[in-house]
Amino acid sequence: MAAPAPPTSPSIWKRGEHEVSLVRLYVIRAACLASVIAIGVSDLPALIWPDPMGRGMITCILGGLWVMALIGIRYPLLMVPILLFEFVWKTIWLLRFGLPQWLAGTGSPRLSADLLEIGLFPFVFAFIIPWGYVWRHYVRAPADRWR
Amino acid sequence: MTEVSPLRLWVMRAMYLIMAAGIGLTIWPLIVSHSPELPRMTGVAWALIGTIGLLALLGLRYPLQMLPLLLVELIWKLIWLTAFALPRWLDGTLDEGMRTTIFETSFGAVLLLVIPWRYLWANYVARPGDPWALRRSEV
Repeated sequence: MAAPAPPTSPSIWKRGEHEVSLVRLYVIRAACLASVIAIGVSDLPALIWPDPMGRGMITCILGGLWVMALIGIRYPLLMVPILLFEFVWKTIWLLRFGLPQWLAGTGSPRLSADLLEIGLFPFVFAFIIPWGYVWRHYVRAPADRWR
Repeated sequence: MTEVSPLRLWVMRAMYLIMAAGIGLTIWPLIVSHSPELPRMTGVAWALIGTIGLLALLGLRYPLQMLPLLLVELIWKLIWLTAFALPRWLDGTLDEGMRTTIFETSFGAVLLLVIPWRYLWANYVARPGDPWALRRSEV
């Protein structure tokens, strides 16, 4: 007797019975690791040795995101709200601040750098975010209990 | 999965509602209409805070899943109060704008009572991480 055919071969690319595919988990982990390093290099020093006259609010928000990115390496799916956060705020910036200034011709080296460092990232995050998972858990899923 | 009481869910929802309404009323009008010449960091700050308000709406439906949003709020306010406000207060160099921000930021302390700490511990620390490899049975 031949052994029963094995179920469809598992793959790191397909999600199968899981929430997302293994590749997707690693893509999110890579994004979290990149954030940990990027924020760690560019902003953590400003939190450890704050500018005595600075306002520092943006740096502090980045500090909060740094902690979330750290957690996201271990629990990528828990940090989907943070991925959405990055996607949304950068999109808002691009549509309401970056593009209008660029179109108005108020260009500056600073604006060009921002368009690259902020304005490009909605497109990057569009590929990182597990949209199917977002749809299932943040739209279709029944709300948490009300009573 | 640690259970969270319905009361806790309501407290969390109230928090999300306050965040969404507060930011919706104060920051969103600025995002929608503002002068084209704006200091660079102002645009970034408005976009960041506006997004917190927008995602807080999602927290009304899924309070537990949006917990990272509350954590970011708590963490940035704690960092700001200790790293930026405290040294200025000790130096006696606080200005009026800074005092107002301290007053507003201190409300973040409410989050200490809102965040379900047992749930947080169970799901963000104690639980095994998401998989790193296919399970043996799948290979």
